[in-house]
Amino acid sequence: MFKYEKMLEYPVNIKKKDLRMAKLMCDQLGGANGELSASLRYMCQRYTMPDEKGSSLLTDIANEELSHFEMIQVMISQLVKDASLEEMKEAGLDTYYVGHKRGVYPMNSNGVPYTAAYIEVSGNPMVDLMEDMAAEEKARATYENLMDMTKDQDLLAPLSFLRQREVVHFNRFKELYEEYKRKGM
Amino acid sequence: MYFDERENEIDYTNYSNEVNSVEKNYTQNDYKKWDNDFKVDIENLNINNFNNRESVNDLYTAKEGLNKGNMFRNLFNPYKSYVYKVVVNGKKDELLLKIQELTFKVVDLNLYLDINPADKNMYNEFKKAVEELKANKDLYEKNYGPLCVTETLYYDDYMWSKNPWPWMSEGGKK
Ligand SMILES: [Fe+2]
Repeated sequence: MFKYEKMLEYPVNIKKKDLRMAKLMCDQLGGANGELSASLRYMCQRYTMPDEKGSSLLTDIANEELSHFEMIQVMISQLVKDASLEEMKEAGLDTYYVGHKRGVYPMNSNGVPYTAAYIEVSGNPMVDLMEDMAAEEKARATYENLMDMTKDQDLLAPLSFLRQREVVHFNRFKELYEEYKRKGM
Repeated sequence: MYFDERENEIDYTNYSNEVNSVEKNYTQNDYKKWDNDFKVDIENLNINNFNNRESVNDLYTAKEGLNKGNMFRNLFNPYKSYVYKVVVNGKKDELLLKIQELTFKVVDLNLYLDINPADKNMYNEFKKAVEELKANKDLYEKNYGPLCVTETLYYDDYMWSKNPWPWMSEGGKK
């Protein structure tokens, strides 16, 4: 079971509203390479890991990714918090407003709702781990693209943190993959 | 709370060694040589290329680890050399930041130990962090309310649902 801790993994406090960035950041919320995808992917793949290393690593990374999903939600929510209706219209978020007002809905930056079609659960640990490595790299690249789009340090700092976590996750999956490979899987 | 690269106390002297970039290996001329019908923006291409100069056991402090998003020196790979330092004001937020730093250390060592359970040194480091985290959490929960719903024995009233929740930051007022 899961327990909630009433804090974020890394502090988020965005003071400047930025509707354009809020829209772009949706790729890491409900996009193919986003944090919800990541968490759900590892959570669902863990049942067919061959040993305790795989079971624990996938459980723990899935758990951390859910905390990242929370951070992205908080960032988007703070970016749109004080926006007027007029500003939302100007930013092209009027289509968002009619469905969700200033809520945080899991979709990508083009408004496509989150779908489990973004993830794979093959039942084969080697295939799954290879997908996981690719997923971490895609998420890392997406964070870099997002960091190119803003100069706001309040936003850059958590983005930089989240990007670095993908680097670590990628490497852990890679280590496990290589160990399984040595064992002839 | 704010973030400012310029006030970063992190030592940048070794920095160029830690940045792995394509630019170092290829010149603009090499790039032209391979230029066929598509272009790759070499300046901005960042490769997940780990250097293993340092041993696995070479850890950052919890504070530096949280700022960097990584406890392990040998895995650290920054984008455009960006590193930020989290700064908070006020006793409550300072204590919470300390908890976040220690929690981060526990999380990152946890992932390492999952696949290297026999590393006794790292396990001891992990235990030390857990111990320090517990003490700091206890101090926080005694003074500022529960972080976990079960931490309620200090209080006569139900405190869990009380504001603020993590998404309710003060908008820079603190
Ligand atoms: Fe990740």
